[in-house]
Amino acid sequence: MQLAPTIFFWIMAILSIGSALMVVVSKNPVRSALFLVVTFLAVAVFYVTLSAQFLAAVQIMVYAGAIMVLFLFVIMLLNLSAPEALKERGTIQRPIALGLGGLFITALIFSQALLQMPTRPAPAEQVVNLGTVQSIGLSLYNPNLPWLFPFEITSILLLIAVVGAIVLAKRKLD
Amino acid sequence: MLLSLSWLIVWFPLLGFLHNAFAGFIYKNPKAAKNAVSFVAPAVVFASFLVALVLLPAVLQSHEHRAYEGMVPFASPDVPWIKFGGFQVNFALLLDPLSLLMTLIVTGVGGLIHIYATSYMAEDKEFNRFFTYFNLFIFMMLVLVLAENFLLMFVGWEGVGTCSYLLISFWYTDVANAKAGNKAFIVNRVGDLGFALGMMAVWSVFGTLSFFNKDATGVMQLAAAHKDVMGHDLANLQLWFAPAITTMCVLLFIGAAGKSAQIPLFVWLPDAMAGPTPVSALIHAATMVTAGVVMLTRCSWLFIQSTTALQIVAWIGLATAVLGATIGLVQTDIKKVLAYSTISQLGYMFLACGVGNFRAAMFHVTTHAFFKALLFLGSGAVIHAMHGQQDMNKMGGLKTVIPKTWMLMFIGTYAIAGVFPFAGLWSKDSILDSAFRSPWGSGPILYVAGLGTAFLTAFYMNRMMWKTFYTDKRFEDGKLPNLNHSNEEHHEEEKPEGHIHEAPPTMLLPLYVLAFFSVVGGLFAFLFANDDLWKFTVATFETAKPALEEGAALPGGSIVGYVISTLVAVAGLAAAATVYKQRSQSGELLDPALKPKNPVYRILVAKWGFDAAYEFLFVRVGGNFSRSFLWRTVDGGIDSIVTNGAKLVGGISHVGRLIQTGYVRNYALGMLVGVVVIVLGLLITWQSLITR
Amino acid sequence: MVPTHYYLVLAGILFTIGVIGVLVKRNPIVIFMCVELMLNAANLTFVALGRHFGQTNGQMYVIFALAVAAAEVSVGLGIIVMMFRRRETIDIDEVHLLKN
Repeated sequence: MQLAPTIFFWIMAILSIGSALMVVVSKNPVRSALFLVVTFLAVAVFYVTLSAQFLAAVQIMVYAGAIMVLFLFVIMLLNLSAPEALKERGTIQRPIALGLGGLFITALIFSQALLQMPTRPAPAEQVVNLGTVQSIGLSLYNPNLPWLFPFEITSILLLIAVVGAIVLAKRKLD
Repeated sequence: MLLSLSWLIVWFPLLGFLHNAFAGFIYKNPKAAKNAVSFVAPAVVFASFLVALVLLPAVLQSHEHRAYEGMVPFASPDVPWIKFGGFQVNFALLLDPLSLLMTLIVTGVGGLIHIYATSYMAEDKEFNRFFTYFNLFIFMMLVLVLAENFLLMFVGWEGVGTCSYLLISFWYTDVANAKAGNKAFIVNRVGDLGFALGMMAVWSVFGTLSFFNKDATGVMQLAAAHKDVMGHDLANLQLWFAPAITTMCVLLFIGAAGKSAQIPLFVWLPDAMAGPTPVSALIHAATMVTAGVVMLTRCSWLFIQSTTALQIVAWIGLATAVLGATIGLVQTDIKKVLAYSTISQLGYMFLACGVGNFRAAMFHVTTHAFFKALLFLGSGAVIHAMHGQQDMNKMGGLKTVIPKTWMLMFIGTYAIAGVFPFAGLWSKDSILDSAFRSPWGSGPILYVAGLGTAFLTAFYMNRMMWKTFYTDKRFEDGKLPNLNHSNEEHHEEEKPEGHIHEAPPTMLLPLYVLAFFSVVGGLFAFLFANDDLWKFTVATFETAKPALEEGAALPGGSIVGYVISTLVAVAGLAAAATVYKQRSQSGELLDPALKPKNPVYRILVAKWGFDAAYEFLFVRVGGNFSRSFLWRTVDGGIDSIVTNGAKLVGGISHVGRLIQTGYVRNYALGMLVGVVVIVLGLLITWQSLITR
Repeated sequence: MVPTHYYLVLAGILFTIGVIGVLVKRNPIVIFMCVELMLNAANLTFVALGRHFGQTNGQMYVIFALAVAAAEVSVGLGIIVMMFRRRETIDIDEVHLLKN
């Protein structure tokens, strides 16, 4: 393995995990949101290293640009910058969740299943143009491939979501 | 083929049963319903009689005098009832001299009793119900005698037991009657267990339940040939074959003992007198109680394979005959005298079977049917005349008042005592004669004991006659209390106003017919003497053959025997007459003051302690055992298992309820737990999964 | 290139962190954000495997997942807004009508 990509990967990995942890650990929801943005950006970088160039751009546009903005709007709307004051009731929730999570991560890191892929990865020359706009477009609009239909349906899905959101959020008509 | 209509014999009474059961629905007018029932009920019985009569020549011409016909209308005898694996029983009827004889007796005497009953039960509110049960009984009895296999016979066996119960407790509003019915059914049940076990033993040894079969694969034919139904020779297995046969026969005899009131299962018969008199006449004198004898005769080829079983049968039969006669000496109820007399006569029949002379047993069944039915119906006429009074101590002097009834009872008494030329002599003497020639020894003892019982029979029968008809009147004519049973409440305030009157013609006519046969019944002896007809009862078992054939050659054997029997009977009658003539006034043999002190009297009145013993053993001890041990420990134990199981479930769910906290996060945690488990499992077993 | 399983393990860790966040946090908006984190981890897995096999299928899945996630976020936040209007609090532990 080459050294540079590996070191780069490790740096980005630590960054993404660290910001994800901060999302969970922060008491302030705004801080959580911002850390989440950092995480999304790190993931976008990963997409680039995985030859998913288009997707990286979309990720930043949609997730970091639209979804997180929405989150921040709602946080502001509900005026919840103040840290959570209430003490958690004496439940066993936290310890169990943490314990299980730790167990899960440990298993993931050390499991044989994930350490061995049965096949070799595709060589770099072949996938250079894997995630370009042209490639994605050819797959998406190809009538022989199954992606055309979901593409059309997604538009209806978005319509429904818009309608739903408006209905939920509007005030009652007096 | 005429014989293919033999199912009619069985179906006529069944249709009568259905008609009577639904008469209330069919006819709008209750009076019309009653008239229809009183016509249809005897009519179907006589119809069966006629069919049997018509079929008789055809049967006699069949091969080996045996015909196999179907019970299902218009179907062959091979219609299977149960069929699985190697086990098959069919709805088939077996027509041979034995079954046709019994059919004629059951329908003939039964038909006469039906006619009598239409008059006897005329004022009863539940007339239709009575004849429903009566016809059902005839149907069941015919199934019993005509069955081609053990299982079908068992159906009839149980059926007559049920009808007996239904009819004994016919006036069920009186609890005592219901209890009597219970007693009859329960004691019968004990016998039925023996029958069922015997049936299973038969099947396990021989592999089939048919009595006789066209290709010689019926149980009787196999027993004679020492084979089983697959053709395996059983005689080679001598070691277990003999005990197996003996066990089989003993079990079947237990069944017969229950049905035919032998020791130790006779206690139900006297209590069964709680039913109406026609019931006592039909079921407990002429037909049902002879079912045991019929079954033994049907299985005669099986029984003669085992002398042990025969001996048991004979000794128990003899003991029962003696017991019945002795207890009959002290009875005061006119029907109870006849009941114990029946027990005693049944003992004679089993004695005959036990010494191998099944023909004599069947002969006695025939003559007994005639004179016992006559006696019971006659006593019914007496009771009817006395407005329900059954206690002989309150009768007396009825000879002049109801002379026709007296004459009929007179004939019946002389018939049962066995005086020349009445029927009883011929049949009883053939039994005594074959007892004398018993093929397994003890002949003289059996003979003398039998003769002694004949003496007692004559004595107590004449005692009955004297107390009822000859002694002075112990009642007031014109002031008889109405003791008639009914299903309504008694009107206690009714003033005793009854007059004595002779029975109506409808009741007397059947009695005349029965009396006629009681007199000339002896002529039937020639029927029973025919070797050819009764071949099926003749032994094929080599060692028993000579003795049995000698004894069975002539029913009755020697002239000497006849003379001795007649003399003994006359002596008994005379003894009773002498004794009771002297006590004309009181009609009592013993001084009433002396009675409680006389030990013999007390033993006899206590029925030799059987009832007391059973009551103690089964009712008291058994009841206590049930209550204390079985109820508390066994039943309580099972209950506690169930209850505790329920409590356990409740406890678990009580704890489990705590999971429902209502907090979303807790539910999400639950989901995580599940996911983790699954994924960890997959990760760990990945290696083994991919190598598969 | 970096071995594929590195990406898979990384995605798994991100996913687990998201799960823990869902279970431990009491502010529903933050819980929702952790759900988005989980979605991202799944998307990362798809892309990594798509790259491994040299197909575009992985990325196609992600495109649609992205679209659906966007729709879901809008509706979900609408629900949270409604919840706040009713109760004046958005502590998720207050929503326990299903208790017992």
